[in-house]
Amino acid sequence: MIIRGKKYAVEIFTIIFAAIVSIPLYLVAINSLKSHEEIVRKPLALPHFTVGFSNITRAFEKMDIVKSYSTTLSIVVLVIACGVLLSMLAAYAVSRINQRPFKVMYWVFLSGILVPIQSAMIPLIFILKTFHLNNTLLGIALVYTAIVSPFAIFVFSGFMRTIPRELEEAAFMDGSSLVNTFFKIILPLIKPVTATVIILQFMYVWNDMLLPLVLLNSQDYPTVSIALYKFFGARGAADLSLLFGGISLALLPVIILFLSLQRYFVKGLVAGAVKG
Amino acid sequence: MQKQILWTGIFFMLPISMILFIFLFLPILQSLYYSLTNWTGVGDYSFIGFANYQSIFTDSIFMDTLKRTLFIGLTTALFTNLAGLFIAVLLDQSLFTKNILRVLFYLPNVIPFVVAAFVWRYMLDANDGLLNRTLSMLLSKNIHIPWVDSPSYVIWSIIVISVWQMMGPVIIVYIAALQGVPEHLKEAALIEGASPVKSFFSVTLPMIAPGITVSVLIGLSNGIRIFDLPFALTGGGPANSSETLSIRIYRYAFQSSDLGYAMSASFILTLLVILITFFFVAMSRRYEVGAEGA
Repeated sequence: MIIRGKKYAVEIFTIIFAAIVSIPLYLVAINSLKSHEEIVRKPLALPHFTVGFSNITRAFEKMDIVKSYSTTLSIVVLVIACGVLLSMLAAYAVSRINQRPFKVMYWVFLSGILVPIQSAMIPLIFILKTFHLNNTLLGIALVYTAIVSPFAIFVFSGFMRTIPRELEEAAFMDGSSLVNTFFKIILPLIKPVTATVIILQFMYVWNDMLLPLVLLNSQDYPTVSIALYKFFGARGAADLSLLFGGISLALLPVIILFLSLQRYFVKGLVAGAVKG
Repeated sequence: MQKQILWTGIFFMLPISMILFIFLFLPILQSLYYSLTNWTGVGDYSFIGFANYQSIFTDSIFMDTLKRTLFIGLTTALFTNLAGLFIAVLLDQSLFTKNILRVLFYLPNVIPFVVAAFVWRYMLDANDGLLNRTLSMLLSKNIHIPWVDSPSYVIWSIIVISVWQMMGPVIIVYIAALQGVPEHLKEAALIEGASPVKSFFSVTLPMIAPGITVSVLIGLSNGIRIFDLPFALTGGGPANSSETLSIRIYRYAFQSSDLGYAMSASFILTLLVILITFFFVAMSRRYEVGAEGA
């Protein structure tokens, strides 16, 4: 009896703790549906739905969010298309071929995780200019690919090492090439980790402010984070309903993606990062 | 056959290696090289040795920022791990609401930094922020603490927000580590009369030591690189009081066009991250070897 009582106490304590941690998100959820006066008077109260979704639609129009969404999504798609496939291939090579050069390359890839990109910023601008990639979506996407790939390679190769070699060896015996084996046998097995890597890369690009600030002209290519920063950084938050509307626009896509894939995400993170 | 596999392997690694070399390793090496010159971005430059470093280490603004960054990194790593381990232990108790709680604790890590900065700035506002309003109500007097607008509080606000944001992944690492601790060891300690607290410190904690190394490393290296959060929250102010090394580099490069300083500061940041990592890897190696010997 005492043990059960103790267990309920732990449960209630943890729920209260989680509720406190969730206050900022709760504020966004309720206040994006309230008028400015309502937010000022009762910030924590549930909305009366008098304003409906007008905060969000107003922010939608004023922030020119369509342009921001399409900019950020284009970068995300380029990064994932490049980064995920190329990291998988490299991870396959370093985790399966037991030769010295490949082992060395594994450590070279891994050392990329350490590089703080803010330290590479200025030479990077000149490198992009040399390739005529300055202020282009492809340019910034290649830089993001370079930032996120080392960790992806680490996660992929960690996971691939746990796959028994017998499967591939049987395929080799039958005369299958390395390319064929990779696409037929390995690719279907690493789907859960791939989901994790995609979410991580999506979140990195969606949330990052530094690279677009430095590498892109915000008039031509406003990413969502930068659009929100520029819109409210300059004029402050005089209109709270507009602020919360804008915030929910920046937040919704990444939250929806995370919630719909979180099952795979946590599993993949544990399988890839901890065992790897 | 063997040769063919070798060539395919090289072909598999080539594209990403090129991208990494051109857009990550080359610029970082150039930073190091240019930090030893008087390069200004245009025209000729000459080699000046460590002159940039000599002057940057006597610059009081830079030194303050360096100390502040280390302080933020260390404190954030410490509190992220204490909170993360505590929550992981709670979630490990087979609670009914375990899955949803795990998602709730992870969500802050998903949020864009700008969003986090704006929501927290609103909550911590000196006049009618939620925190001061709650405190005023609880203590029944008017409280107007400038959490974000005063040099003495702003650092702690940044640390609290970073811990809130970085806890999620750390919790997952600890939950995985805790699940690896064999049940019979914990039971054996309890049967021998150890209290649950004592059994945690003498059985569980040593078993999850590798998890601790990984999470402290994550916390430290993220804490030292921090840019977006203070940049969007305060812009480094008031009066440089929340400026981090990354913001300093950005300012040298894009506001005061002081490329020599920017490059030296860049290299110092890189060096810090590398040193911290090697320190932790060496420490964990030593620990593991020690454990084997014992």
